[in-house]
Amino acid sequence: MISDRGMTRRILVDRMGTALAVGAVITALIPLGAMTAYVIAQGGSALSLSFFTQGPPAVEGQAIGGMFPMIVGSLILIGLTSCLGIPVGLLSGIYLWRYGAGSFGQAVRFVTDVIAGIPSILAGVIAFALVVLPTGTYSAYSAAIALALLMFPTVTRATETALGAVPTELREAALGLGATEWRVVVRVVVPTAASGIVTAVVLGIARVTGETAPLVFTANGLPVVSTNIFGPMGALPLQIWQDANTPFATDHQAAFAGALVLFGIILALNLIARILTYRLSRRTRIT
Amino acid sequence: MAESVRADEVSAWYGKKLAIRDISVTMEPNKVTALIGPSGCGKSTFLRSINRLHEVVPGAKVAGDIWVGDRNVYGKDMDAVKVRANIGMVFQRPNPFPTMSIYDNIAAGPRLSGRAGKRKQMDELVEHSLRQAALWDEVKDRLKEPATGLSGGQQQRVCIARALAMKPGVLLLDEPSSALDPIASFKIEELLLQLKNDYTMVIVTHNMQQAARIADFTGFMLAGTDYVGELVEYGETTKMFSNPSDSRTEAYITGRFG
Repeated sequence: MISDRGMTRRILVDRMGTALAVGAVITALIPLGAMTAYVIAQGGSALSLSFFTQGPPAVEGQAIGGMFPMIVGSLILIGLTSCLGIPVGLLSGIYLWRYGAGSFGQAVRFVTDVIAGIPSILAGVIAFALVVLPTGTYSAYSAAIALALLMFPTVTRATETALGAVPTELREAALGLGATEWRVVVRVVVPTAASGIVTAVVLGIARVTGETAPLVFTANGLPVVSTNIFGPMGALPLQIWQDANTPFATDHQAAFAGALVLFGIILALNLIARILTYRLSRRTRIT
Repeated sequence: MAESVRADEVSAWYGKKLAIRDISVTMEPNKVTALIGPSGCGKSTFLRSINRLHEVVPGAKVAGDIWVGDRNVYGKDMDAVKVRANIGMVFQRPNPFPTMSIYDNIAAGPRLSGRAGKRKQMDELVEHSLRQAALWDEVKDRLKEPATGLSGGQQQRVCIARALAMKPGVLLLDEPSSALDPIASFKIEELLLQLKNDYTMVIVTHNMQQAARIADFTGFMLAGTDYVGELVEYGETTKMFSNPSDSRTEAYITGRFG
């Protein structure tokens, strides 16, 4: 039998613990909420239809203008980065899952984790040294290489984890039916792990969408629409950074509006990841 | 067409560890053969050696020969993928592919092994296989639904139908009803009895009553003090359960160990 006093003390400690946890959550949410509110307040007023359809003003400081060229540029960069980063990430994830038990696999894992941890500006410098300098020009594809370097480790490790969670019995069932290893992977194991893999891919994309530092060394384009991936290209984060560095109030407003758009894109990508995860995991639930 | 299965001095390893030693036995076509024995005696390992599924475990290997009909499964130019396509396997836990509908699960074998025919042929194959597995009437209106939405017993019958759709000569069953409730388990047994006229069946079971009920022949396996599984006794089920020739078999079936 526990004494009443002992019980009271336990209840008190329990409540204090709960209060501390709730307090910590609120403390963490305050800066997030403040930041979101500030970006919306500052950027929202500068947002208009023309912001999405026009370029920056011809003369700096005269008007807010728009970011159409940079939105196009960012989308092209994201697409290009995905074309490089996703296949490399997926295939190396499959490799690590299937053949990564030995010391070579461990080494690959280690290097992948190291790359995942490098500062993003370093990825830009690497692409600058390996592509921009030899070719003599800033280019969208060099930016994509830098961004893909930042994207693929996330995809690799998450793919490996997702594949590892697929029960061995499913693999064996498919092998038992006379399927080759590769078909088992492509038709059974990867689809079963799809929710995890898709989440990894979308979050990988979201991670590089906001990267600015690597672009300074690589894409570095002018605020005009360009679809030439071998030449310089503008991008949202780049323009936000540049606008924030001018002395003009209109540019600052444009920077906030751009930040808001970027914020929206990343929010949308995260939402898509959530929805896909939910829908795919419902489909592939293993009972 | 049902084919006999003849093992000739089959041994199997996991890495350096020997799991089963020198198993020689012939399993008759169109009969049910049960493999019984305590946990860890290598029944499943032996079963998985028959369709070369044992070797997919990293480091695992097999020595000896296994003849299915007149072909040596471990022959020089025999491809493990082809071997598995001609031998059906049902696992302990129902494992329908969770991303696939009931229909697609049954069609999975022909599709995965590159044997899929025209749509109409596939429809017929799916219906035929589901009828064979005594599941058609229960699922014919929901073929497009995910197979994982079915009950455990139904899922296991999907797995049996999935194996039958490959038109195998031999059906291997690794404790197919041990994860099911008694009623679902009973239905699986009934089904196996119906199917035995058309297939050679080898069933691993922990359940001696089940072996006695459905198997024509029974093999008793046991791992000795060195933890290596051997075939102690093999013969007609009625004889083994009434008058076993080995004292260890008698001790096991009378419940003195295991």
